[in-house]
Amino acid sequence: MAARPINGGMLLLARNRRRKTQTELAAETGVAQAAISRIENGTRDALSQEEIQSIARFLGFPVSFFYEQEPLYRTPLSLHGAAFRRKAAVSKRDQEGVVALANHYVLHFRKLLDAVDLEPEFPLLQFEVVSDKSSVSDNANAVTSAGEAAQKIRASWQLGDGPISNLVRFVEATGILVVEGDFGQADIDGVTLRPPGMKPVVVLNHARPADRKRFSLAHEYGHVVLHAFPYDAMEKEANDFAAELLMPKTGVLPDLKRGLSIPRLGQLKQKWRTAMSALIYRAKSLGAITDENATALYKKMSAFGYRTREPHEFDIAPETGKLAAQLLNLHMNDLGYSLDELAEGLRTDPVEFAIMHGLAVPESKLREREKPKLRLVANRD
Amino acid sequence: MQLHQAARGGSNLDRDAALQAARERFEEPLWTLIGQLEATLSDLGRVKHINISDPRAVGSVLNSALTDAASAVNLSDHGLEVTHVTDGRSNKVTGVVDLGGDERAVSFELHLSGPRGGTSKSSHQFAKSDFSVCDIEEQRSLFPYDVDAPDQLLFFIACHLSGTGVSVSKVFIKFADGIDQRMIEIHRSAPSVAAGAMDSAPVNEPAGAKLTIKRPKGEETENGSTTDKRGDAAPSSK
Repeated sequence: MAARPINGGMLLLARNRRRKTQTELAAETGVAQAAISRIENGTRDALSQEEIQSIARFLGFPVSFFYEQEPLYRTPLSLHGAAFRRKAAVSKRDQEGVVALANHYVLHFRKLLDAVDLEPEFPLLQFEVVSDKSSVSDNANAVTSAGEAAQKIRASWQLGDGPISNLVRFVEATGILVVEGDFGQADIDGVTLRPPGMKPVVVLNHARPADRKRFSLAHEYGHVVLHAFPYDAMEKEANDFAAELLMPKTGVLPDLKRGLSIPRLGQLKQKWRTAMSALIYRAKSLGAITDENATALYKKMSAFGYRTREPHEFDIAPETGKLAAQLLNLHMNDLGYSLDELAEGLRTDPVEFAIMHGLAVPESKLREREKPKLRLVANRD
Repeated sequence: MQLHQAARGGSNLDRDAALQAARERFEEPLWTLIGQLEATLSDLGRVKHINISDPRAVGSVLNSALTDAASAVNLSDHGLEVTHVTDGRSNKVTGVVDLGGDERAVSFELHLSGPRGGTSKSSHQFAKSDFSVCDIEEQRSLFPYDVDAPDQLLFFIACHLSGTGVSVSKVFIKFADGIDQRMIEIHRSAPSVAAGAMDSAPVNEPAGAKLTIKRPKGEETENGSTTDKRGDAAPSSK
């Protein structure tokens, strides 16, 4: 019987997940870099047992992970990483690490969803921004602006023009899984993967303030409903979509017309649950204040250090999703899987699995993890 | 103006030592009290139609809140008492401080300062004089104090509000006797977020997507039978 082939995509995922270069992996495991490279690009699919065990140990994945024949979706929604906000400031290693994290979640969710039927409350609408010179695809609705798409989304969610209390819940109600992940030092707010055969998965940077995560989610949702393929204007459209979704013109304009000051912006932040800086930008773009007014407000914010961190006293409560937790609960409570069994089935270390999904890590697991690994070294003398 | 003259003339008070002693004795309870007032401000900031930038509104609310805030943090356990002035404008916080074995009465008055103005003005309240400038919105007002205020240890608790207007960024104990502007900063023991600042989300949440465990084929119908190639077609008439 032929040996099972190693899936180069899984090796790439594991390596990027740990933010290691091929050179670093080769140096730490003793496996030739050329072999690693060939495995990853699919021109080789076998390593010795010792080699794959060494790689698995160093990267902290079970050996079985590398033999998973899962399709791997390396790129986010848009090609060339264009779905990233502020991607220019982010190193390639950090970008790859975040994409690997998102793929790791997709790997888990794809398997978990195999046993479950998911019935969204609201349809996941698709739009295309068209002009009089372009036409719309068969499976999308034509809109003349991203803002119009946001208005239609709000209508489909049966919302008026007031604030959205919990955006995560509305996005999840369209079948999208929203999770928060550890992006490390990567200056990235969120990333969306749209794997074939399943609903999109949005991963948000858990270290961001709640108001920023909301805007990031709205932005990512804009990509999901508007952008089947990438193009230059997509980032601006996603921002316009997010602004109208969270602060619809008809609802927010009366608030923005009443003299804006920092305390007033704080009050509005608590009402609309968006950043004070986003409210200033919205006020400017809707013509409620002049460019000079906006600049003066930004300067005041800077003077108090609020551009770096908005004042704690106006922090909004974080939003939590429940779809991913429900998915895990179904497996653990209704289907009777233990943490170990689920982690093994999903080819992930149990402690890492628990941390990724916000589960309690058993003390025994933590102690086990802290123990030094003993290796048997044969004496040839 | 007798007090002013007396203090200027015959005082042998080491004013720096007095500030140090007041800080040592009262730094913690005063900040605890201010924490309560920050919570009041935070709540005020969320009251409909209130303009938090209006110093008159903010000042009145703080003075009104002072007595209950002091009670909430058991200020008396720390040797401080709040004396409520009948017209509600300028409550006093009083106590005793030890200056090298010499116990002296001390009086504090809450003032908003920094960007809001107040304590750096030339005219201030002088407790033992026959009149007081006691309104933190700088309105002159005459009324009698019930408290027997000390003649040399009159302080302002000078609160510098942050840019939001609903939290206090710095606090100084500052002489209020008009002799000089000496002051000393008191520090919070641990940075805290004003209680009540978190806004609870309004309720307009959807029910969400529904998840159910897939049932194996055969369990989807009651009798477990499977359809044949003809599916649900009607039986042939022949």
